[in-house]
Amino acid sequence: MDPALEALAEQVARLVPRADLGWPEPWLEPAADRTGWAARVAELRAVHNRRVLDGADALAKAAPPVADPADGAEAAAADVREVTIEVAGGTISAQLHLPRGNGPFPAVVHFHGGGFWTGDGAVLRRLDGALCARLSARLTAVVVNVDYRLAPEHKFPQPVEDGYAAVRWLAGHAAEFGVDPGRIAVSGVSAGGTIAAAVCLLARDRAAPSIRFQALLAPALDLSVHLQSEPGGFRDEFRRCIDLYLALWQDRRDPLVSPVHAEDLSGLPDAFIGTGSHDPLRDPAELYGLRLARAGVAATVRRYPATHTVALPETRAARTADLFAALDAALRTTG
Amino acid sequence: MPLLPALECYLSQLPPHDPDLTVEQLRAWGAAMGFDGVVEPGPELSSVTDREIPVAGGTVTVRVYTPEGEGPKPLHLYLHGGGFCLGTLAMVDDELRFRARDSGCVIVSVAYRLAPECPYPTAVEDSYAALLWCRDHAAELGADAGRLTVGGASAGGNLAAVLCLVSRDRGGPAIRFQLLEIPLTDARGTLPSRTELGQGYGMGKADLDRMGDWYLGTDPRRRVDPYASPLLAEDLTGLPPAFIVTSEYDPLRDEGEAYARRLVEAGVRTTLKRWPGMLHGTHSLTAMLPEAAQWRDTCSRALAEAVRRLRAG
Repeated sequence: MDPALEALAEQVARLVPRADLGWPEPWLEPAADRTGWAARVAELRAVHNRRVLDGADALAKAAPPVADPADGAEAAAADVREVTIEVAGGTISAQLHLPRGNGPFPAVVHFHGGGFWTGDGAVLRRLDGALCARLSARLTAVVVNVDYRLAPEHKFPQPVEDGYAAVRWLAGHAAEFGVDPGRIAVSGVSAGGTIAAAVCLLARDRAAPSIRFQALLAPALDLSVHLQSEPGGFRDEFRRCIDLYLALWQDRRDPLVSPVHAEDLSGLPDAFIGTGSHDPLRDPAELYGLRLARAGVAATVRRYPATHTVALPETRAARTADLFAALDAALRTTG
Repeated sequence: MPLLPALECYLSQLPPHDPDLTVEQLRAWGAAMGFDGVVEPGPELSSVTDREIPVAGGTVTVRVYTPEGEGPKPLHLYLHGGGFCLGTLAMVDDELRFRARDSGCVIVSVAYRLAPECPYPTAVEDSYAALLWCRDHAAELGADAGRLTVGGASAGGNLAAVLCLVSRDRGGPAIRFQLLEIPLTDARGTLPSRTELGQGYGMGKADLDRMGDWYLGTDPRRRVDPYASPLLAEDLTGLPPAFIVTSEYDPLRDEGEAYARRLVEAGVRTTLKRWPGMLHGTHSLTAMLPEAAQWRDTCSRALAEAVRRLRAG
C-alpha cells in the first residue's frame, strides 16, 4: 500500500476506533420482546452512525478534500426537499435535489452505504447529501438520495425492494419534477452499490422502469464470501453486516443478494464501477464489471489506490470526477 | 447470443481458407471485395487529404480527416487492421469520416508498411513516427497536441495499444486515450478463443498463425516481446484510459478482454464491451448490419466523450 494512504488509514482508525463498538444480535426468531430488541438495535445504530460521521470528519481534517473549481455557488443554491415514498408495508423518506430550470432533466437515484444496517437519517443527508448536491448541480439533474429501510429489522429483500420502489416512484413522478424518464441512472456506495446493482436486475426482469446507467462505488457484489475470515477489522464487520442483512436460510448466491452470481447479465444498463486497491470487496466488484462486459454491457472499471473507506484527497477527487463524467456521458443526450 | 443471422449467411459465402495463397493474392482478394452495399458511405468533411511523412528509411502516406468547426481540435491517430500484412487507407475511409464528424477530432490514418516485406518492428516504428509527426504538426493540422489519442482495430488495435507503451517508455507524446477495437494483444495465440473460435468463424487460427509468422517470424521469443504482445508487458501502469470492444465470435476475443482486465489491475480506467453475435471484423459491414453501424457510433461517442473530458480539463 502507498505509505501515505497507509498512514492516513491508520490515523483515521486511531482517531475513530471501531473495535469497541457493540453490535446487535441478528433477529433469529420471534422473541417475547421484539420491541425491546428493536430499541436496542436503534441505540447501537445511533452509536455506529455517530462514529461514521466522526470518521468522515477525521478524514476531512487529516486530509482535506481538493477544492474543485467546477463546483460553483450553484451547488448550494439547488432546491433540496424531503419527500415520502410509499413502499410495501410502509413509507420511506428521501432527500430530493432539484436543479434550477424547467427540464427535462436527467435523474440519479442514489443509495447510501453503511453495511445494510447503518448510514440512515442524518448520515446520508449529510455525507451522501453533499455528493448528491454536487451531482445535481454539475449534471443539472434531479437526484434522489434514498433513506431505504435497514436491516436487521428489515432484512433482504426489503432494502432492495425499497430501492426499486424509489426508482419507480421517480419514474411515476417524472412529469412533476421535469425528469426525462428515459434518462434515469442509479448510483450507490458500498452496500448502496449492492442495492443499486440489484435494482437494475429487478428493473430489467420486471421490464420497468427503464434505467440507463449504474454507477457503483466500492460495491459489495458477492455476499457469499468472506464468511470464514478471521475476527477483527473490516472483514469481521463485513461478516456481521451480512448476518444482520440476510436471514439464516437465505441463499447468499441469489442474484439480488450477490449480483456477481447472476447467470444472465445481458440487457443491464451500462456501468461505472470504482474499486479500491486495498478493499476486500475489490475482486467481486471487478469481476462484475468483466461479467457485465461479456454480456454486452459497456462496463467501465477503475481501481483506485484506496481502502474500503479511506483514500487520499487527490484519489477522492479523481474518483468523483470519473463518477461525474460517467454519469454525464450516459445521461446528457436524449434517445 | 447466437451469431447474427445475417452473419450466418455472410459466413457461408466466404471462400474456404487456402493456406497456399500468397500475400499478394490475399491483398488482391481484399481489394476486389469492394465496399458497395457493404460499408455505409462516409459523410463529407471539411477536408480529407493525403500527406507523405518521413519514417526510418523512407516515407509513408497518412490521410488526414478534418471535420467542420473551429479549431484547434483534438487529434486522433488511427491504425488500420489487416493482420499487419493487409489493409489500406481506403478500407477504413468511410468509417473514419464518420468518426471524425462524430467525435470532432482531426484523424490521422497511417499506411504503415506491411509484412512480410517489412516485418516487425517496422509497423510499430512507423506508427511511432506518425505519432511524433502528429505532435509536431498539430498546429498545422488545426489540432491540439495536448489532446492526442490513438485508436485501431485488430492488428491496428495491437499497434495502438503498443504505441501507448512505447510512448510511455520513451518519454514520447502523452497519449490521453486508447480506443481498441477487437485488438490482437497476445501474439503467442494461446488464449482459449484462438482455438475455440479458430475455425468456422471467418478469419481463423490458420490466418492468424500465417500472418503472425509473416509479421514476427518464427522465433518464439519474438512472440513475448511486449511491443508485439502488449498483454505480456510486465507493467501497464501509467497508460491512458482505454475503451475496448471485442466480438463474441472472434478468436481475438479473449486477449482483448484479458488486456482490459490487466489494465484495470494496473489502475487504468478501462471500459470493456463484448459485442454479442458479431464475428471478427464484421463491425465494418455498416451498410449490411445495423449492429455494425451501432458499433461504429458507439466508438465515435466513446472518443467524443474522452476528448470532451480533456477539454474540461
